[in-house]
Amino acid sequence: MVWRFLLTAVLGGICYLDRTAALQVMLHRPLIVGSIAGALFGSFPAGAAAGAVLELLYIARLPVGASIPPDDTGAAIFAGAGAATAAEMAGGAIDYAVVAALLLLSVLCAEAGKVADRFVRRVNCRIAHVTIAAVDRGDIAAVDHGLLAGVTLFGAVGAALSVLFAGFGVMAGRWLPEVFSPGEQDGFAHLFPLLPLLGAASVLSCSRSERSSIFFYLAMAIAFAGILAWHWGFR
Amino acid sequence: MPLALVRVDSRLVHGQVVEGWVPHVMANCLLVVNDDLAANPFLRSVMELAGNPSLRIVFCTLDEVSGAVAEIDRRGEKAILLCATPSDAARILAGGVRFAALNIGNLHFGAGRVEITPSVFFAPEDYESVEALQRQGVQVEVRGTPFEPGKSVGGGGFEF
Amino acid sequence: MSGGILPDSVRRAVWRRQFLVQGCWNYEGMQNVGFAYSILPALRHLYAGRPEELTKAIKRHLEFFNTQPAMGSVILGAAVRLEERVAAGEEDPRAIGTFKVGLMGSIGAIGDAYFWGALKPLASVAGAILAFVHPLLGIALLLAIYNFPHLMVRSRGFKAGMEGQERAMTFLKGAGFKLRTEDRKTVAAVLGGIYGALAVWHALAAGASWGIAILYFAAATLLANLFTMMFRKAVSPSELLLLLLIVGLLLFRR
Repeated sequence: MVWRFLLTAVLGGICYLDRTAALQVMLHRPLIVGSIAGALFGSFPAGAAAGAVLELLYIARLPVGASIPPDDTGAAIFAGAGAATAAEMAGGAIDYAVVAALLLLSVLCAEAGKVADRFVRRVNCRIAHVTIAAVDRGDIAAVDHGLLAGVTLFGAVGAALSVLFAGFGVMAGRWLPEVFSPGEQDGFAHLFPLLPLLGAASVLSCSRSERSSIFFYLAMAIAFAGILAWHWGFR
Repeated sequence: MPLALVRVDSRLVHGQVVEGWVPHVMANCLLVVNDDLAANPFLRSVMELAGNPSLRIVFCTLDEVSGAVAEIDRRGEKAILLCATPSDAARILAGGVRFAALNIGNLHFGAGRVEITPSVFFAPEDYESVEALQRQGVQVEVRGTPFEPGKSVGGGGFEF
Repeated sequence: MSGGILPDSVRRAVWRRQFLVQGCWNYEGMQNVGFAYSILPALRHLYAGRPEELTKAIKRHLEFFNTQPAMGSVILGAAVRLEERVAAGEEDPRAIGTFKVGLMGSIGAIGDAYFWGALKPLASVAGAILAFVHPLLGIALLLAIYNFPHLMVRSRGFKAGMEGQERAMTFLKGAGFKLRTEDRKTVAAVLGGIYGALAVWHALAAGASWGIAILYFAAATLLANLFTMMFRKAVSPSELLLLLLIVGLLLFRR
């Protein structure tokens, strides 16, 4: 278990860095982070399933200026680790009631991660002040050091959040299957299909044009008809 | 009234406006009121690239603003008015453009400025302008994007 | 106009460093430390042996700066070019600040709309759909769709900026970000519809009739419409999810 959390700290820290401080090559997307968390905690497919749903939920919230979107990276670590833990205990089977409950609970991580992000950016103000004061004294290397300090802070907080959220995820993944009696269709299993639907709506809300709305519903109808025809044939 | 929003923003046209407020208030025009920009064709041409077929970007100086608003009204457009400082907003109001609410989005940090929110820092003259606006019945709210709660300033004094 | 005076190794160092432009993102100066860090190799080279001018040059890049990080490559390139001209005495140093501050908002608006508002949703939804086939394929597609244009803009934008303001302008116009943004958003919406259809299909129990399928589909369309309207009214996804959590707890109690 210890090596799992160590790897979570390292890989989670890297993914968190990609979110703001470095690269922005989309390593921080929930599909990827959820899959990694899943692989680390026993079930890659379960983690990926949770991550794929989270991928779109917050997609319409843009990181513009000082406006910080909810932390979907952290949410994916929580839900991915939880889904994988539950699946591992069930011999690999994914229980969608558990996944739905995990995804809904992951909101708390998304909001907590946002608070931590704000904290880092506030501490960075101090780093920037120190850097500027040092440059005033003629210390050129302070620019490199200041940046390194900022990156380190982003990375360290990311690693800590990763371990914390993964820990909560594992706890929730162990506890939730006990709460849900096996094989029973309960409330959360019925809620699961609403989550990808929320994701689809999130994508549509990125665009305001009439054309996009028409194309969205047209594509949905054609795809649905196609899927039915493919699976059922024309009875 | 053709103005859907009147906003003070140091960066004028940027992502929070184009991706946040424009769709939120369903505006199809941005009126940028700024004397420096009106005199700089290069910066204007770059800013125009941020527009699109359903978003016209217009520029005018502080003195021309009432004419520009009348023109937008005549075209039947719904506009967001952008200016750089609260004192510009006060001048616009004095210039005859009525508005009931003022949104303050970004006022960049500088020496001697006081933090109101993480992205809005007031200089002493900003307090004066905001108080002058409030005395004329303008509701002043500090709010970066539609996705975050606003923080009202005012009722005579400032709370910290 | 004289040609560039910086050796390629210095230019490459600046280009690489742009990936850390948000490394010390802070509320007061935003990307200020990151921008100074990125351009530092060029400044060190241009002002070698002139420590006071070097300090001054670094200080002007520690002023407030913020733009979309990938599109910022255009401004970074153009700033390097301007610093070359300032170091050669062909330009007033104040022009650099005016240029950066004047452009960061507009370039940020173009970049936010294209990268965050269009390309990221497109990559995400395409990846999420292909993840139904296999998660690794979905991940690969997501990274590919986003990063080809991303790295292209980072390198071409930087190059165009370094060839001067006119070339930077030609790049921004020629790249046709306006049209691309609209197109990507439309394609993302189409894929969003397909993703929605897959969600409805997965909700259907095995052996459901055509009638049930159509009922489910109609309900899903109405819900998607409702959710979209709420998102457009700036309702936060977190609020909706919390609401669903409460609904779930109520249903679960039985």
